[in-house]
Amino acid sequence: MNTAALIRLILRRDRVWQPLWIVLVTLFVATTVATIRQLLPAPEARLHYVNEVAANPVILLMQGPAYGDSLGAVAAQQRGAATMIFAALASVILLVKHTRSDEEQGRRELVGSAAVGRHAPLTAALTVVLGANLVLAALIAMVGVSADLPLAGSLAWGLMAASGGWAGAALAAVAVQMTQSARLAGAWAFTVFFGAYLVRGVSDVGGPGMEWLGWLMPSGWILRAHAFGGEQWWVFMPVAAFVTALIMVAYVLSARRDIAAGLVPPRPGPAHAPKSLRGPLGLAWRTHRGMALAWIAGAAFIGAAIGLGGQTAIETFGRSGALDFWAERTGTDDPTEIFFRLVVYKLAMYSVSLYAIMTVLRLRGDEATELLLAGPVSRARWVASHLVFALGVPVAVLVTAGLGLSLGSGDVAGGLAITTLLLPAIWVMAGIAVAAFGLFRRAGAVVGWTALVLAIAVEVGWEVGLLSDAFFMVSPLAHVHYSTLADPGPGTLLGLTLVAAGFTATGLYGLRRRDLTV
Amino acid sequence: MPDVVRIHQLTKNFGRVRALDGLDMTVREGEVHGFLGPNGAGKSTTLRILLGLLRKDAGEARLLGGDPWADAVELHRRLAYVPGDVTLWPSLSGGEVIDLLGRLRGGTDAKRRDELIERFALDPRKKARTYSKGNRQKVALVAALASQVELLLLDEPTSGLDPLMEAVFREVITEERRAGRTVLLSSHILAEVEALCDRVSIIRDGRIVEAGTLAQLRHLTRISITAELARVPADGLPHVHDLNTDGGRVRFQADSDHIGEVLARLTQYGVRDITAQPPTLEELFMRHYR
Repeated sequence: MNTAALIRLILRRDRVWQPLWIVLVTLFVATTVATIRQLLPAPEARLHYVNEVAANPVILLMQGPAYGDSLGAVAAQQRGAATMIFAALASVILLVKHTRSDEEQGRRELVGSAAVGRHAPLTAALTVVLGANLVLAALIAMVGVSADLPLAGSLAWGLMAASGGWAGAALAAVAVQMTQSARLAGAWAFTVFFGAYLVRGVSDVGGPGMEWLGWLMPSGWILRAHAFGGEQWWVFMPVAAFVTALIMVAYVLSARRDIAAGLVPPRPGPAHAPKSLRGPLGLAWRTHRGMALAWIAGAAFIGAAIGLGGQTAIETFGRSGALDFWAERTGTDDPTEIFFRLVVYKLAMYSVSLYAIMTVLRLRGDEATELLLAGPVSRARWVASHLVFALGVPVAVLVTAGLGLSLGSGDVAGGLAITTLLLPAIWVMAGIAVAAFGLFRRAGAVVGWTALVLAIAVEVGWEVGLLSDAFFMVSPLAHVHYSTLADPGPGTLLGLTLVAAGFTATGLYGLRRRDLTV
Repeated sequence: MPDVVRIHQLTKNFGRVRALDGLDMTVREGEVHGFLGPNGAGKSTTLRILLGLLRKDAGEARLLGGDPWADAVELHRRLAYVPGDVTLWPSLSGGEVIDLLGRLRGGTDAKRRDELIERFALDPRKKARTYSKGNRQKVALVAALASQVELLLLDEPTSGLDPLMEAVFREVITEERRAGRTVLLSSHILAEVEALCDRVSIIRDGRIVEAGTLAQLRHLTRISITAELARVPADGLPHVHDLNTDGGRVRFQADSDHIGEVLARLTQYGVRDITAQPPTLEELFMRHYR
């Protein structure tokens, strides 16, 4: 058995990403605990917050209920589910990368011809990903303890995050047996996980009568570990059983199929191209359409959920006084308004920036660049065909979300204003990725993602009072921020748009001058 | 006749590695030009510079009368390219890729497209992700051959094809030559080049070490001779190399320029039987790589 050698290979190939995602999730936990300590230091304020959470369907849907009013319990309520989802996402990506992607690109064949067992690649990938989540659990527990939180709760939080990762990895292990496309396998696994998470949310919103629904879902068991609120350790038993069962299914399926094949046979495509596929733009549409439609649908769902159910709850919460500190920090005298803007901003800004950067970076992996650019297609036209989606789909996503927000209040202009305001800043983030891709070739991804992480870090640093206003204003995010620091008038928005255009032009200029290597 | 490709002292570095080191090459209109060399000699780099994908560091490169870097888009309307390592869009079917590439160049001849798909035994309905290397190559070949262009740039186009398909490829290229199309065929399959090409350029470590028609190249080199002799020449022969004696049987290489002299000397030893072979392309090629 050469599984050990394959494990070393995976660790070598992921020597940057693997530690990075673990550290990022751990830092996320650390900053959350610090923020809550800063914002809700008094027990009465926390109790108030917990009561509001129980009455707020959006928070129940997206984050889950609070299982106590201690500092730890509030932090775990706010960010416990997010750490679990993030761990699941990272685990799905890594597991697919080391199983189906290797098969799709023919590397698996090379490995399979060597003296390794038939299941060795799957075993190696599972070992690394399950192990990484164990490390994550330990680190989160250590962060909790070092922030003077109780050991039991910290450990439970760590196990919640790791359980999310384990469940994601196990779902991915099954998905990669089914389809030949790595991208599709990853999308399936994560969608199933996230879908189950939302069903759990429905159960939490629905009250005691709906409780059974939550118990049907693995993510329901995980959240019911009651971190910092009288831990229920036994919930990790069904999680372990669920993960074990899925992994067994994956091995059984893997034994029944050929290498590089999937259980679901690929459907034949058309023998002739449709009329729409006649140039770079038609090609880009084929590349981006699935992702674009999924994001627009997601925006419609979340926008409508907040618009219909959440707004009143958010307003009640804003008036409760729990947010007075926040209102002071962000320089407003209307905590209600600021909290609503905050929720929308946090949901839209980060996720749509993520979409835009991800879409720009598809340029780097555009599989058949050489074939396309050997035809009469200029580099600028090729990049532009992808930018139509990287810059245009955010418009559609934010307009959809804005319309969803206005469903409850009927204030269409207000709903649209609060979301579309963010566009120029998102374009700047995408522009940075374009510039990096054009100028530096391979480093494009690192620069693009680092810019987003830095922007978020600076924002959080300013929110907890570590960084000055002037420092925060360097970030494009500050200029469309929910606080009164931002002055998103036409001048600001035009300025940001010009900065984005400048970055994009820089990228195009760099790309026109450099070698194009595939 | 105008030159389709003219390259003079072309140089390209990748970091500290010098990929092309003063390369000179000319491809004339209407010829099938073989571009011979082992992996890593600089064949693909040369083709990518001609396509404007890579930027030259020094020297001169002209393609169809234009500058391959500055006039890339205009020039690409007049040529088609088959990369050495064909990657396609995984979610598109082979037929879709062929149509897309054809439409980019302003439309394909539908009859020619279907005929080529038939001859290369390609299933155009399969998704690109499920094609083998040979089938991906066929998709790129059909797309290139079905387009009405002046110049075909082919980078080791048969490296994934089976012998049957290689035969089809040779037939098609022969037809293309008859139709007056110019082909630059990079290859390391010597038999293919020998069968198809009018002229050949041999590249080694980023420069051309030999160029010309096969007849010209042969003239510059040696002829292998095997002979049965009555007496063995004890102290060797002038203008002869690699002399091998086995009883009365000798085998050697003779300089082409001195073949008359060599034969005259040989008759002095009592020739009972003799065969002379012109050098194969393989021998020409190996001479530069030994």
